[in-house]
Amino acid sequence: MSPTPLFHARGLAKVYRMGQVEVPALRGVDLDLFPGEFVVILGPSGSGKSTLLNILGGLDAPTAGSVQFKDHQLTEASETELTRYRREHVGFVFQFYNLIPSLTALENVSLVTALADSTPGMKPADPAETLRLVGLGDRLDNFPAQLSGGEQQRVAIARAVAKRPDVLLCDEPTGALDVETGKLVLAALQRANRELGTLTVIITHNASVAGMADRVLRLRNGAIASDERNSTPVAPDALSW
Amino acid sequence: MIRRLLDRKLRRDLRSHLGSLVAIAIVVACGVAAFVAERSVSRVLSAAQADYYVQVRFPDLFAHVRRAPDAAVERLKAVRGIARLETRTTGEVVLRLPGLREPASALIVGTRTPASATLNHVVLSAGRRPFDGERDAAIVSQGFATANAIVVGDTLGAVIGDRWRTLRVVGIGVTAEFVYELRAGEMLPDPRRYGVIWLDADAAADALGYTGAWNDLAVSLAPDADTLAVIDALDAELARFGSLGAYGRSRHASHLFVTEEIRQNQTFALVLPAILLGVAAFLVHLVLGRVVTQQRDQVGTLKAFGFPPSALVRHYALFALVPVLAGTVLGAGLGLWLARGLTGIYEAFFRFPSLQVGIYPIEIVMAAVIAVASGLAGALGALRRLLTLPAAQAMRPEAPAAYAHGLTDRLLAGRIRSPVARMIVRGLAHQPVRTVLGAVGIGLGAAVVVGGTFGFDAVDRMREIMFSRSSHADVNLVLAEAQGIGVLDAIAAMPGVTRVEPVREVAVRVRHGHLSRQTALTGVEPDAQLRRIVDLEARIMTIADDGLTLGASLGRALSAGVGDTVDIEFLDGRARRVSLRVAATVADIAGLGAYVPASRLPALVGVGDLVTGADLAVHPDSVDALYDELAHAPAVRAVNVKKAMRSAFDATLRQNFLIVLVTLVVFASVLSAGTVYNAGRVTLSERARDLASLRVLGFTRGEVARMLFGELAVLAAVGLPFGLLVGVGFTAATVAAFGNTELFRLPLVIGPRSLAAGFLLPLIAGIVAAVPLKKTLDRLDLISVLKTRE
Repeated sequence: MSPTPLFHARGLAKVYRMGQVEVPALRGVDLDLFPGEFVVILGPSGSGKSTLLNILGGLDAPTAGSVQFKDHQLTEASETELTRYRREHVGFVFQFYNLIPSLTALENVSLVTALADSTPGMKPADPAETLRLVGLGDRLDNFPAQLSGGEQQRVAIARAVAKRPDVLLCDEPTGALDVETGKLVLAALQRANRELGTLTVIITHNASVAGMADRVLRLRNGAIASDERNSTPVAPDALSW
Repeated sequence: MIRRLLDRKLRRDLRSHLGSLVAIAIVVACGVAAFVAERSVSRVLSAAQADYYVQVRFPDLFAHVRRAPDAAVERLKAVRGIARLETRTTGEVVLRLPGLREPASALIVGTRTPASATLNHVVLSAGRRPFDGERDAAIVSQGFATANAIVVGDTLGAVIGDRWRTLRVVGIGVTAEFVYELRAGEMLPDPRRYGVIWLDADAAADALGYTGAWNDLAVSLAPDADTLAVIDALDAELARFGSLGAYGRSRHASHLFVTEEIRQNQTFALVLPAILLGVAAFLVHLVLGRVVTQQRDQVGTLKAFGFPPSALVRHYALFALVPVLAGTVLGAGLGLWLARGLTGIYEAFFRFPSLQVGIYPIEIVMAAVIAVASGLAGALGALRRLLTLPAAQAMRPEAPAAYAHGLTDRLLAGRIRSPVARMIVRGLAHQPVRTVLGAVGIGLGAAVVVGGTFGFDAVDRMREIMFSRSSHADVNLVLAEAQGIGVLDAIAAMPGVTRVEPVREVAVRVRHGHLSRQTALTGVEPDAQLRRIVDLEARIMTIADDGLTLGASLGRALSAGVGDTVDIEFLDGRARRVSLRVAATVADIAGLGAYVPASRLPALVGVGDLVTGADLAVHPDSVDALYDELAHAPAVRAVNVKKAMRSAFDATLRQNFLIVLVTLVVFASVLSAGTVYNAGRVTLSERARDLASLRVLGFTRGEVARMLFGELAVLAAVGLPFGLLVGVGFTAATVAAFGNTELFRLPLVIGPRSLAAGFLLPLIAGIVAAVPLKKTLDRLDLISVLKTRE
């Protein structure tokens, strides 16, 4: 018997209305995502991968279909419920890091753990400990402007995982980084996934990243073109692009 | 072509920043309105005063004597420097008016049919003048007539001289002497109970018992006259007639009030617009600075395409000037409207033949020039940045705000535990100039409220002093002539009188060195219950047992203090002088007070114990009978009823200060709301990406709003107390500049009501201005932040 999926999506469709024109972004996606998986979603621009990520993250609602997270129906949730869902269950990593420039690395992480601390049932990790996990134990008191892009992205990863979310959603996390820095970031993601057992979903158009995934989904024209399991994921060091 | 394209972009930019630009336009409009209104009003008043003085031949010098024979006039005319000299008779009388319960007072003034050279013409608004020698035909002053619905053809009854007379109203008029128709010793005009009645000069002299004599003198000076020399010569001649001393326009009560008012308007025409346009410049600086930052890439692209820098400067300068010009147009209209409203107030106080506010294009042009200059000053920083920005750099996004552990951070943010509070503190500390100016902008709203409404507190204090603390008499009588102490028994026997206390006031000139003032020397009863000397703090003061106690204004005017010796000359024609040591001073509120114990007065005056008036406590059931009796008593020159004076005082203030209050409330709200709105808009625009990221991370709308509004709340928390302090300073400066006249002294009072209003009003305005920001914040696009880089 297969384990219970964390996400259970059926018939997801999304149509953007741009003036008179209707642009379909997703056309009937069925998808189950399981705890602890490291999933990479590949696809060219306009394939619908960002839309899928936004819906999974509770930032956008599908035009049709349903998404269930554990036993919550995300598709019927109110704005307040979605905020609570993101707060309690989801960690986000953005392409451009989106750190708060007026807070140090440690404070950026603490901002989120403090929020989790005040939420019943959540047990966030120690912020400094989490930054050590992503290799930034010696940069705790640096402001974002004093950090390189890769370091900023690792702070963002620490910020996302420190509250021990059920799922980590990463939108082109290496998109703004050079290869070597990108690998460091991916290594941090992999380590967080392994050590914390967090379902990690990365969307990217960089096919090389697929090599480190447990599971690779390819999107084309708003539909899943392939869904493959990778029995031998490699370490990010071994990737090349 | 370039210009057309840029203009199209300008229109779109303007539309997309509509809220901020409207806020700037409104602040500018208020500044321009204040400028145009105050300047127009001072122009109207100055012009009305100047024209009027020429038209009616307002005298240069004035003097009042007890009684002088007509024969004395020739000698006076011989004084060098006098172009024209006229004598007449004046006297205050008690009137009974239908529909007015308590007695009214009027000043009877003799007037002649004006010829080209005569002084003090009466300008008629209805009816005619008395014919030469016509008895009992009266011109009534406009304010008094209007307030009491007196029209030509009515009759008025009064004891004039020694008998009851019925006067026929033949005309209604005004004159430059009584532009401010204020009864001596009072603070505000009460047109219901005090007016001027002109009679034919001979008829007035006969009625008042001055046949062949006079008691009032008006002089116009020759162009080359030495004013002080003429005054000295007149004083020398007039002393034996019981002169109160000749004086120029600068001590003429009506002239002084009007001139002070013009000066105040001119001052406020500087202060208020400076505050408002200064804040407008700051708002332009904020908004344009942000727009240029946001549009760096566009600026770079346009530069790369070869658009000349001048075209870009023009484009962004126009962006700043469009709201400024719109505000100027709105403000000019508002200013003219306000000028009309303020002129309306002055019409109620100042009796000019006509007080018509016009449109003064030069003032509007000046306002526009100042507004545009303020706008450009605000735009300067952003425009300079525009020019120095290299095209390539302009196309790269601005580097992330570089925060570091500076001194302020160690002192402030480092000590705060909450990350949100740290964000707020660091955000503010990162742009110190903007933070300070933002706090100042919000605070100036409070300053305007406190500085502008202090008058209400001052007036409240004066009201308390005059009607509650210093006077407990229901009725005060002024006798036509000083009388022996026995008159008190006669007064005590009048209907309803439950207590009588004597009033002893003697006309004197007090001299200290080369400085002198004429005033009344008051004999103070130590155990008086109906009248007390009260200081500006409303404390009851006692006077020195021995020697002279000087009021603060007189002390300052004479530059005399405790220990100095002053000369006192009694102005009753006997030329008696005594020297007195100043034993104490009191901070009294009105006039030039000089006090001695009543027991010492007879010896000083040297004519026995005389009383000049009386304070009465009266049983309320008997007042009507008392008023009737007093109105028919020839020995009584004036009857003052406290209750009536108090209600007149209140009514005058209520009616006329509403427009001032409303204007100040609007200005203050606009200052605070405009600053909050634009500071909030710019902060929101700068932080939108951060705040949206936090929303994605699970922060609620409320939590994110606290971060944005936390900054504004800190600005308000710092700015409002600062603004209150500025308001207090402004009030102190106003009191110092305008509140220390020899006629009255304004207490420096800032009551809890003003402080509360100063704090709450800008706060409420700011909260209202923040509502649209909250709406924008709630609509933050969460998805776009995932992809954008700023």
